[in-house]
Amino acid sequence: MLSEIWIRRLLGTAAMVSTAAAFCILLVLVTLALPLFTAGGLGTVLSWQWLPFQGKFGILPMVVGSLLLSLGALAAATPLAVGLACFAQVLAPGWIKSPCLAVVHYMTSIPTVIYGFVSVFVLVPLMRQWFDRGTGFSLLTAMIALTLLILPTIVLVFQATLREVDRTARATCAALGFSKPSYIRHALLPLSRRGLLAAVILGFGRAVGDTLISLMLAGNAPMVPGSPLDAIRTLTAHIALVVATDSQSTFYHSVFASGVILFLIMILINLALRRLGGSFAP
Amino acid sequence: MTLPESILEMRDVTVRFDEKIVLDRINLRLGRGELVMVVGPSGSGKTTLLRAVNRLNEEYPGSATHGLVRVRLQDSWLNCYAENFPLTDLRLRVGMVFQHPNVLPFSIRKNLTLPLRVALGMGKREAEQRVRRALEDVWLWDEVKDRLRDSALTLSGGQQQRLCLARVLALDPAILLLDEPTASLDFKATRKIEALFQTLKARYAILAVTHSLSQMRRLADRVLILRGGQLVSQLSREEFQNQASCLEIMEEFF
Amino acid sequence: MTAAQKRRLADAATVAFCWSAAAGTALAILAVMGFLIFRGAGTLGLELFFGQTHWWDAVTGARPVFDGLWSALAGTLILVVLSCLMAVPVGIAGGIYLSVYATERFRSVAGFGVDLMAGIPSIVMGLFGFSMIVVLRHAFFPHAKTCLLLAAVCIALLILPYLVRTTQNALSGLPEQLRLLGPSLGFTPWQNTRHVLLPSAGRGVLSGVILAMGRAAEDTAVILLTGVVAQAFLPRSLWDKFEALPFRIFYLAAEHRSAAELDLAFGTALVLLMLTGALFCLAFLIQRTMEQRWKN
Repeated sequence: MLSEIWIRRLLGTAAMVSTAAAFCILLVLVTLALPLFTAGGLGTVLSWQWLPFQGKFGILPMVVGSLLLSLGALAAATPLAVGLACFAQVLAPGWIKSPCLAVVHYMTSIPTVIYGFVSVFVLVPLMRQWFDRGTGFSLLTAMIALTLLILPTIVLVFQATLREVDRTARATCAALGFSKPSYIRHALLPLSRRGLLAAVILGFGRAVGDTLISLMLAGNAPMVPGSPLDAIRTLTAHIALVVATDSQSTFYHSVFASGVILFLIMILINLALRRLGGSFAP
Repeated sequence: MTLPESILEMRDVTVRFDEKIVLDRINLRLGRGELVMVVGPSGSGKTTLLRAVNRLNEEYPGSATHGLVRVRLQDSWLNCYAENFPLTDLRLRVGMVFQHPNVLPFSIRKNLTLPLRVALGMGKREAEQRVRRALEDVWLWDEVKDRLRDSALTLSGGQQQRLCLARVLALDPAILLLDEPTASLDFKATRKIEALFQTLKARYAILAVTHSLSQMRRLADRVLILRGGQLVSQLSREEFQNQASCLEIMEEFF
Repeated sequence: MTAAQKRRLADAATVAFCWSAAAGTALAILAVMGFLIFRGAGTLGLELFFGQTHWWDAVTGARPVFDGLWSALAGTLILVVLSCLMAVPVGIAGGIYLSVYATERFRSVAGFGVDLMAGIPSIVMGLFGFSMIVVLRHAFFPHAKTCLLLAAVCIALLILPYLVRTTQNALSGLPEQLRLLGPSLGFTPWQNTRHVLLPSAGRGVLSGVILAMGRAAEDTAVILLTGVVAQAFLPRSLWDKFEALPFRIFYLAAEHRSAAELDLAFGTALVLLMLTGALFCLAFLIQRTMEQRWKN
């Protein structure tokens, strides 16, 4: 049937576009960052000082900023996520379980800008008060907000694994006389390690890719922090600041390099998830 | 006893999924007026056997079928796997009913008219006629004639399964493939459908899979015993009607 | 301490930890939402949206709105509609192909490409859009600027992978028997898709579309680099700059000049929260009714 062939081609084209788009975007970014590699600009970009008007375009402080912020938020969010997921799956009374998960789902729909906005008026003054120095915009402030942002992602992915493991493991352990908390510690969690790893990797991806939290809360100082109360700048915020505020093309190369670095991190994350196997996307 | 003229024949049919042999050199024949049942332990390849006839195995990746499967339509034999026998035509002539009632989320009427219009390209009036005939054939007409517009999901399990059967009959097949059709139904609905099959087998050749040995004894004209992908025995009705020998045979193979 | 005592202590600690995690999260979210509602609810009203301009003049574009968020709301709505018009057909078509037609190998490769696309940080997507303008400026159009169309295209790219995945999952999640029904009746793959699969999975696909709309409405990073500004009134063409709700919130958080503007910011934040919340609830309910049907 002729129309059948054409329909198949049309649908196939759509699938090809969806598949190839990511690679095209990467290609464009790499091409635009290429001058760096040829003109020996790589050295200037991979350095420690960002002083554009003095000709220094180092983005390494931003790389450090991104990593510190993401890993810090991850470190705080993961235990919370594990606790929350175990609560929802095992400990919650029957009537709480559904609403609990529904609320976590809802959290994923809250716009990032809202988290940032509320943090600016609640968290920042609080930080200013508690720590008595600085403006309140710091690595720590951003970390707290980012923790809340990535929490639902980790919870949902991990809870999907828990649900599968729980289905077979719970009855067995109950028959063996395990209490619920012991079951969690000794059976459920050890059996769900892979799911946790996948959830953590996804959470890390979400944290690294976020722009607004760090842009609004981290202070945007392009330097390596000495303490959590110092201001930092992430790669994502750096791109936003340079492109949105400056219009001189000499700074752009650093921005494209930042973009490529972020993209490469994403590729690594995806490859890691593939190695873990199974589908963990929420 | 004269054998009915066959309209389905399988010769040395072997089916593999990704190099694993699921059916091994199957030979069988089936004629109009016969209700042949396939029995065997789980995983013996019964469903694959049915699907080898209407080539539904090909919907799964990695499948490979060897051997001859042919059907007789209008006095000539057609190779089911031939290039010039389109898949869609084959499946219109070989109808299949699945284990769980497979109604679509539409009205009762639309469940029947949709395949007629889409697969056969039939016009509206002719489709309506076939609807009534098909529903009468499965004894549903009196039960649903006043509510053809209602959603098919409002029917009971047994009624839904009969609707699926009607849907297949409306396409005017020559052969019926039934994959454990009463497995998900209650006792009453099962009995009703079994009585239905007794009347239907006069017009069609029926190849059915069943898990229930009592159903086999009630309905089958012939029994094929499948184990590990191989056809290990064929029994005629006389042979398994005898209680003692039946038990013996079952013990041997299960 | 005996072993039994140690275990009881550990058990109690586990329970306490899990409950605290749940309670803490609940409190945090309630605090966020409560704070917004508390500070923003008072500002809800016609004035929040339209300022001093009459609402009919504002909606028809007869008169510009100065102190209200109408331009931003209109900008966000237009952006969502444009990006969805571009992304939804392609995404659904791609999802159908992957679920119904594709070989195992293609599905695996495509899955990687789609996952990669889903993982691209939104700022990088915005950077891509911006770089398109840079390239165009050097090549054909020296006057190329970031604009509504560019932003819509970039957001379409942003939500595309989600549409592909939710469509693919909705179709592949149908019971195996149902997927075989069409072929067993003699349907071609497209007939099967159109008459059997899509009606059955329609709700799942729809809920995916609604979620994509929510994502398009809340994004800030992409539009930051592709044409959003603080004041632009209603965009008259695809090549204009535009306003958007999330950017307005971002901008006002940093640059508010008076208490009145701050109130406006809270009102805007509340409006955006309600918008995304409504979309989410809609998608969630649709998805739930579909799951219930297939359980039976």
